[in-house]
Amino acid sequence: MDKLPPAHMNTEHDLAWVREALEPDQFAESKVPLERRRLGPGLLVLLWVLRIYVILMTVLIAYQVWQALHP
Amino acid sequence: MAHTIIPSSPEIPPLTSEDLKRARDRLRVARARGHRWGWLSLLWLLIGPGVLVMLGENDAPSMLSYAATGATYGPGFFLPFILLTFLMAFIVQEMTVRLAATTHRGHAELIFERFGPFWGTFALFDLALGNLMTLVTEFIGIRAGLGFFGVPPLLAVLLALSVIVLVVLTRRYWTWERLSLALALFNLVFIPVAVLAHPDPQQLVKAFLTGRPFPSWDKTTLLLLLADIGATVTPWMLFFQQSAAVDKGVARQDIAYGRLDTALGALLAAIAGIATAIATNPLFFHHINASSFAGADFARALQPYVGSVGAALFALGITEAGLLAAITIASSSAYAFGEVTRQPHSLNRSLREGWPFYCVLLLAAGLAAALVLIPNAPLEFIVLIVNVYAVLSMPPALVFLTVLVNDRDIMGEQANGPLANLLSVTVTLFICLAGLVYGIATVFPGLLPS
Repeated sequence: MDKLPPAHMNTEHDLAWVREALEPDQFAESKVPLERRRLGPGLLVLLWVLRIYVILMTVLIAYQVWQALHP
Repeated sequence: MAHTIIPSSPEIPPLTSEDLKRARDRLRVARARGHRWGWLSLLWLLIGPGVLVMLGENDAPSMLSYAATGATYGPGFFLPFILLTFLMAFIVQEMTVRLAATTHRGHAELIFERFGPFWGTFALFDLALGNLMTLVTEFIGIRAGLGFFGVPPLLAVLLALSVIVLVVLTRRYWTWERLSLALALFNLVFIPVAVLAHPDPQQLVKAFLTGRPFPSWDKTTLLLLLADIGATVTPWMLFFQQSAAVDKGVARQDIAYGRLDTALGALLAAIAGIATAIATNPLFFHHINASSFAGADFARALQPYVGSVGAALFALGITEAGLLAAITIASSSAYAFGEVTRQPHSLNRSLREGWPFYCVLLLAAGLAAALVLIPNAPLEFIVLIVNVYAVLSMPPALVFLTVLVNDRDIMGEQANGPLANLLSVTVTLFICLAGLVYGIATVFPGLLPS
């Protein structure tokens, strides 16, 4: 079995294998940010409903804790 | 560009030490594909994020939930129910594997880029709050578990922090992952404890085949149902597995192995969870009230029935569960922070390059550890509510996940098909419904018997 290339190689020629081993988006410093998607009205309503749901439930949990602490 | 080995040019992207280490891991995977027994090598090389996330979610509060379930209801409905919750966890986590392999972006990064910072901040806030509360419970578990062996709280917390620091400071994803996997195997110590509890095989078979006896429908049942769901499906798991798979370098051609990794993790975690519920069945049969038990209390109460070895294994299991979860949950916070702030966020980075990432990881663990040491802090309430909060904050996370994994612009042919969508929507509705029932029962306490 071939040995893996040693880690200390650091010239452009030596590192050609790195560019072959990784897909373009796997390079840490060269990712291009994705475009923002358009959020339709249905999805926006769903996101807002769920946000309100989480806030209400968080308040309920806080109330439960308060009740348990002050019986 | 900072921290690069070779600077960029118009044709060639810049290289970092992170790229170099990841490329070495990918080269091993590429070479394994050509071998006769390559599938075995590939399994060994590609296993990791799935097993870690599932066994990481078998954390201290989760194991205590399973223990409370077994002690309160004995063998019955909850045994197959635990299996069902891990099936839900697999359905959800498999989607993060495809997202990671296709986009090479972490979950927080994708939410911020595709939904924008407004919705991304909400998702991050849910994650940060849930992670902090959960991390606190991990240290409570560690303190309780080591307390069984006579270790003082301060020493227990410092020992746990030292392990986290040592594992994280390997500065190599592969080493970190293998050390964490070795630690995760200790989750299986609940199996011998279950055997030592001498369960009746006929009762177990009946429970798994029929789900009987059913529990009475009251507040305790509802809370334990929610706690058991929260013990398997939580927001941090989505963020962790996707980011860890990206850090590992998982690519499209590895998705099948990613699924296998996740399925194996779900199976192992379900076995450990069910074993924990079975291990505490003697408390049910001897009518011992375990409603206010914490980690070490279960181990002590079980001692007459499973022996001192069984009790020690139980305490060891709770300690391990807390420790592994502290490592994975703190990592999920650090990954999310790095992805959103566009700071280096990889366990392959050196300390100099990735100091903000490592600082967040260790600060998250350190803050939770410090909170556990505050005298008279109402820690038992945090343990009680942490899994419930996980269930209640899960629906928005599942919607972000489902929308992302259906986004053909980024997923291409790896986008969800009709069956995956049906399963995903079913899980989301089930979790929403469980949360709503909890909310209604809280607002109208007279609806359910206490």
